[in-house]
Amino acid sequence: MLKRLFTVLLAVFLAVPAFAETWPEKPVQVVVPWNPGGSSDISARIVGDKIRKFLPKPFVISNITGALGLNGARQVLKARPDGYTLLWEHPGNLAVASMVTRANFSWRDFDALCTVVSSDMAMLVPKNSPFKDARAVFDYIKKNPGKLRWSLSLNGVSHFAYLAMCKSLGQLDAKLIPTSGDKDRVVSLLSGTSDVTCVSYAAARPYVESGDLRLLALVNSKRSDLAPDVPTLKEQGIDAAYDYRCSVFTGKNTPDNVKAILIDALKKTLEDPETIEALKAQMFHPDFQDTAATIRNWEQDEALYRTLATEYKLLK
Amino acid sequence: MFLDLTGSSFVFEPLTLVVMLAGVFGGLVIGAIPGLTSTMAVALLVPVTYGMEAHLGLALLVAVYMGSISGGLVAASLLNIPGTPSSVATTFDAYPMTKRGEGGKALAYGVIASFLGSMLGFVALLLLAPVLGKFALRFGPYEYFALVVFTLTCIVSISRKSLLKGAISALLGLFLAMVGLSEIDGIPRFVFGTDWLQSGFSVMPVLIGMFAVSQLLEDLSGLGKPLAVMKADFSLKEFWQVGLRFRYSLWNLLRSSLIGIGIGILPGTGSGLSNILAYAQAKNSAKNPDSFGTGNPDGIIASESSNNAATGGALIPLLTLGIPGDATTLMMIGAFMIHGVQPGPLLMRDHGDLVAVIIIAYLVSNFFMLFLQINFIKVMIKALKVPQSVLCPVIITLCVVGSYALNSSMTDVWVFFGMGIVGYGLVKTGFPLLPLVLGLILGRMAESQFRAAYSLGGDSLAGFLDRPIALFFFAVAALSLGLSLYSAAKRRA
Amino acid sequence: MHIAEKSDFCSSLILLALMGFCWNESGNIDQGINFALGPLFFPYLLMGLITLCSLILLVRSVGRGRAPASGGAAIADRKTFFYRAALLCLSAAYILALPLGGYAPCTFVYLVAAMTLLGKRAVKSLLIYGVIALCMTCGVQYVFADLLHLFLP
Repeated sequence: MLKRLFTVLLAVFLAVPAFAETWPEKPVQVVVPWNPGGSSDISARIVGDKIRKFLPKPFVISNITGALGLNGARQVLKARPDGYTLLWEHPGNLAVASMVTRANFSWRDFDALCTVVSSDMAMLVPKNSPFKDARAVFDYIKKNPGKLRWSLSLNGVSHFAYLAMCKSLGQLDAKLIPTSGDKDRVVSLLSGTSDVTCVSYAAARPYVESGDLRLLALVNSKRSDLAPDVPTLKEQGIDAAYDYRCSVFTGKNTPDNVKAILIDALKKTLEDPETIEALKAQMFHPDFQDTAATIRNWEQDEALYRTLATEYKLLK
Repeated sequence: MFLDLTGSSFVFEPLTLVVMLAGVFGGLVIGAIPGLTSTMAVALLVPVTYGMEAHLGLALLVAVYMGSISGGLVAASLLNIPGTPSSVATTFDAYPMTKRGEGGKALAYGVIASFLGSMLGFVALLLLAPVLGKFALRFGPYEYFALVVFTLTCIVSISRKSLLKGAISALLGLFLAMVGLSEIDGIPRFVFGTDWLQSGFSVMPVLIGMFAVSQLLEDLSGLGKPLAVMKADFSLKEFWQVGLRFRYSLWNLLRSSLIGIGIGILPGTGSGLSNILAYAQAKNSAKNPDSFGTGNPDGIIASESSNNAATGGALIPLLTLGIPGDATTLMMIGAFMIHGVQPGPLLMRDHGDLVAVIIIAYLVSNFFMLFLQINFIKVMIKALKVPQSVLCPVIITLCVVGSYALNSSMTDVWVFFGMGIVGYGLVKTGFPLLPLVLGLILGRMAESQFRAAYSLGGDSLAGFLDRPIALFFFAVAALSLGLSLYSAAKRRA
Repeated sequence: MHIAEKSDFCSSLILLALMGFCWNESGNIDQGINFALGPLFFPYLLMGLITLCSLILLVRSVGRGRAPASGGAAIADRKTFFYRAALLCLSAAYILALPLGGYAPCTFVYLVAAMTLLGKRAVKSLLIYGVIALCMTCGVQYVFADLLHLFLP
């Protein structure tokens, strides 16, 4: 009974535009479909913390994990599209997962708000590896097919990065070792189980600093200001790039004024010097892009995955 | 190589001590409640530490970690419901003791064993961390798979009633882990066209469902009577006596703690696994293995010391390499990151004071844990006097919350309920629950590691032949299974 | 054919049926790229082993003609059975109601109802139950919703 009463009140509130000026009236639930402390989670917490200056009610992070991030996505899908439930995701997961698992929904079933942060992906080898740059790795693979052990997460971002490299260099025949999770891939390099891998730069940096891993290149489209003296793959002559961008979504048909308030608040937060500093300390780039640009990015990324997946027979 | 501990004076500031005491207490309560685990407790508290200073936040998390792992023994001993997966093996011998009226003694054994196990974990952490940290990297897919096989055969071979049913249980557990998206390729398996099966079966709802519900249903046959009658009220003198008796079990204690530390160090496995392995080892090397499971204190000692030692072990790779030793330390990484600290090989160099705080906080939490538990044993025994009509529904509601809280999912609550009924059915038909739960816990890891090992070996199993550690585990597994089959056949003849 | 261990017989049949269902379902598993043994290897291996063990169990349950039925469960007396069934139904209703009614009200009602069902049915007891239920519900609500910002149904 209480819930029904609340629903009626809510309907009344939503129906009267004047009241929407004071949106949000209660804390906003931000669903991060990954474990606390993971890279998506950290960026969400930092932004969620700093956005307090621009919104009357706080952001509350919920980690709803499982099913390659689809569990969290489903939660937002089922929730009321009133702007109180947001999804914090990036195309490498959401766009790909729906394709691979044949889910009955995709990222288009949400309303995109904006892009918030981007981070870098690094290509690494162990410290005692004979390879000094990316070119050397690929030359070795070409000369010795099936010998170099490349650890990646099947159907994951690291896999698609590898496929993008294949596409640019012609068929690459490395021994693929399935290892999911940035930390696990780092461990596999450290323990000598594999020879080369791609992980997010944030996860790799402590080990690069300590000298346990060697950073060969960044898999970005342009140099990162967090590691300005690291070349990108493109510079080394390999036309493969992946830009790791995180975006915010709400349920479909959320009222426009609610969306506008959210986008505005997020934009202001990302321009705030404190936020920028906090994000940079965790190896994130504040990267605000509006709704149209976000949708374009996702479409491009999805098309790229689809091409790679079909070409390399990950999808039929 | 001694770590530099000068930064640790922070731990002894009044605010820190109070916060840590509260943390240990909260951890104990959480551990005692079936349905809430240490991983969840730490995961839920990580955001709370956001507003705190890094040292305080991490000291709190260590305290909660320590408390929750130790707390599991309360429900395990008194109710036969493991509060956390790390106390599953404790139920085997602690509950029979409770039934005999020696619940206080069982708790005392558990508490002292926990304390001593943590002390050994602390010693390892303090003195041997850098050396042992390297050990974390020695295990590759071959070794992990072999370890899984070894653990499962251990469990099956100690199942008391029927080896065959134990094996079926384990296989069912492994199979249950296959439901959902496959770990490696993300392809949906056995989802029967539904949405809710896509994420598979989480361990916690299944664990508490099976153990708690089946136990509660079982208890209903004694409705109107108290759960167990205490022989005598528990006193400090009895506590001392229990403590003195430990001198007969020193080797057991040491071995179990070492197993705990070793398992804790290995990334991805922790106290949930170590308590079972330690128990199995204790039983196998005991002079009277058949007394295990009827109330032999050595079973409690093995289980509780190893699960606490594993907490120390799990912190080692975290602090030396930035690699989490188990699921709870994985959550702690989040706390590090939130405070802008990147765990990695340079953590001790760059944030030595933070590392020192964590290590000393571990020690202090251990003492707090001992202190709190000693004082509360009396209170906890009183819980047995609470009529079942109250205890039963209360436990169910707590389990419901616990299942839901994990992933904000009603599905998990239904899994809890459904698995509870299934678990009850299994128990009544003579199938042991432990292998099933263990199979579920290890299933995904078993498959991923196996397939990774297969790829490494060039799409063949030949790779296993070069790995002595893996072969060793396989050999021991085969041996123990063979011995059990042999003795079972002899018994039947 | 004298079935000595009824429960074992039934269990093995259930297991075999389960494996049958899963075999059927495994047809829906899309192989995609057959990487590192593919997603079907392990499940099939396990299913094969389970089927084998179930068959052994089946045979054993039939074969032991002379042994008395020891592994089977004694059917509990009617009163306990009633309590068990009632508790289960009540709990199921509780879980069903949770998303609809919200955590606090449902839990309170459930606790009082369950305690009344299982315990003494006196007015005084009812009051005690009410108090306990209230404390429990509020306590949990406070800790989880307010302290930890967890969203309860």
